[in-house]
Amino acid sequence: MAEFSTLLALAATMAAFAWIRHTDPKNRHAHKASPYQGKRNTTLWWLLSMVPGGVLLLLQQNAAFVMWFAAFPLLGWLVALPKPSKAIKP
Amino acid sequence: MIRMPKAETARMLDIHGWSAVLFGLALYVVVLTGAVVVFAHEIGAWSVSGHKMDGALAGKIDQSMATLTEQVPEEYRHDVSLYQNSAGYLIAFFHTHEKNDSGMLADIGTRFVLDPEDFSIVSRHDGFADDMPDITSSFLEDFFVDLHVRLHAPNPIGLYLTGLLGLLLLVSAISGFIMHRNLIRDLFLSPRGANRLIKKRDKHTLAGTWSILFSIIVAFTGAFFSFATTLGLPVIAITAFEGDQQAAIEAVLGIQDAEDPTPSPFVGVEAIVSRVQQTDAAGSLPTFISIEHPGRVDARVTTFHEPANGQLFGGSHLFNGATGEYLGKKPALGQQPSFGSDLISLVGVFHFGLFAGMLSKIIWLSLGLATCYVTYTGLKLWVARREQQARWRLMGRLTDITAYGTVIAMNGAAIGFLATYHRQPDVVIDWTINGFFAAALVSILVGFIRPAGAATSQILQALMGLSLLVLPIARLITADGDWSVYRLEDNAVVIGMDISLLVLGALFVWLALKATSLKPITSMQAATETTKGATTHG
Repeated sequence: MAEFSTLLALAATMAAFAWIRHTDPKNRHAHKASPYQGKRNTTLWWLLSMVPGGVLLLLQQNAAFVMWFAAFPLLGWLVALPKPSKAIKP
Repeated sequence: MIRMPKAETARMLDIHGWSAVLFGLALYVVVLTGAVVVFAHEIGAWSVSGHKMDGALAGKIDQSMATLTEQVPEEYRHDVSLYQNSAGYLIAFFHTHEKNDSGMLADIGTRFVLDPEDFSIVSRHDGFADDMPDITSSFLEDFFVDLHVRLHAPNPIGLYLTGLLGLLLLVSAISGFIMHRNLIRDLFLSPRGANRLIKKRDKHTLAGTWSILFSIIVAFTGAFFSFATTLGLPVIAITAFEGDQQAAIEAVLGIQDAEDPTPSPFVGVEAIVSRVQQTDAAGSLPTFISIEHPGRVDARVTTFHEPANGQLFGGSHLFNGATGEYLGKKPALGQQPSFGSDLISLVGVFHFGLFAGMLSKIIWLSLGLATCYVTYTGLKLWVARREQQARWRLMGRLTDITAYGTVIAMNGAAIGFLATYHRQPDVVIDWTINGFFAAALVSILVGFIRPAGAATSQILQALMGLSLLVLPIARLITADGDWSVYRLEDNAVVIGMDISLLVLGALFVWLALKATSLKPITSMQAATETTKGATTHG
């Protein structure tokens, strides 16, 4: 149960990270992609990335929360590390 | 984002860099071995090709314990510790406490290693626990754990060393945090490939930024474990208890019940184990049992348990050893549950990551490896900015040798263990240690004989991959049984380890070959880039 909850929470966090990265202006500029045109809502997406952890805490899934908390930076790093492909679109 | 004057940023960079240059390689070894020993139990089971039998503590053990008690000198029957090691052997240590040659209280007694199937004696040793020979069946695992905990230095020097390295990691993480001006803005900045130096810096900064919180947690908790008993308790005893360590221990762990040596038959391990497995107690089989004063009316039995599914903390439960009465759950500290006790347990949870089976272990292994990556890329970046000077090129070589050589040396130890454990058990310890040093020597020779440049790290990486590939092959050759047997005997961990090692080994060899096929950068190009990088990003 704890493992399943953790993986689900991590998947949700990863989706939020992927969006933040996709719209990140500095990353797009550094890799010569065109600027993202839509509204970014960075704060909202950061909050959304942390919601799964909050839900685990509310459900008193303490072990799952600690695993999610520990894996949070790993996910961020893994999402940020790859160089964006040339096909990146606004 | 912290704005600082240029001079202060430069000073912070000096603290960050020089502390890493002076102690970073030792820190790397401690963090890497720490990441690996998250899987110590699995390594132990794998190294002997599967544990012999699980759940030996739930077996018909009382008759054997009574027979063993008769073989032990009267003075050693004061306390008994009972546990099963990763290889499955049951360890029974009958002991008391006496001052050793250094004047410190230490455990002295008789240690039996028992076969878990019929409780026959595999080995027996008498004397101080610290002086006894290592148990061969768990030697590889113990060797790695000892390397992480105290770098094989004698106590307490080894613990001081690793504690100081923990504090160094704390300094590096905090100084890195302070001097990084665009912490939030750069969180999703993938390493840029425009220039070799910028790419190195981006790689280090990205990994360092994301892993900063875990680095601080692991550094603090590691330093806590190193200093708590070696320095913390004596200091508390001197300052708050006028040097009385016993009084300090009683204040921390709780006052023991008054001693009553009136003889009374011991209720037996079987009754306690059966009771503690009921749902109103622990509901699980203990991993460790401590018996105080067996055969007396004041006998107490404490059972220790792994965390239940979904729980963070394992537990310990107390029983009356004369009547078998369940006395309740025992907190980690003191007599009553408290915030302090939970906090201490939490320190263990965050440092070891052993609370939720395989998933938590994989996460903690990955976090440890990420910290190693930050250390390695940081040192390589420092060297790359100064590689026109010969002494820094030497530092670059040492960094590669340590980064890959530590893994190669650990694999050498494992090969030495595997080569002898089943065939020549008398020399297991020597061969494991010799395997470690021989492989370390090979890494050093390869690192120094090769000309400087990218090829050194690639050759060492390929060597590391090959040594990982050799491990499962060596284990299969030297042990009886195959994968189908391990699966039937509930030893899937052996198969899992074999496959992981094969995949990792193949991956590193492939990465090394792939990198070798790229055009190497000439020293002139490197020098030009260094100058560019220094002017643009210094």
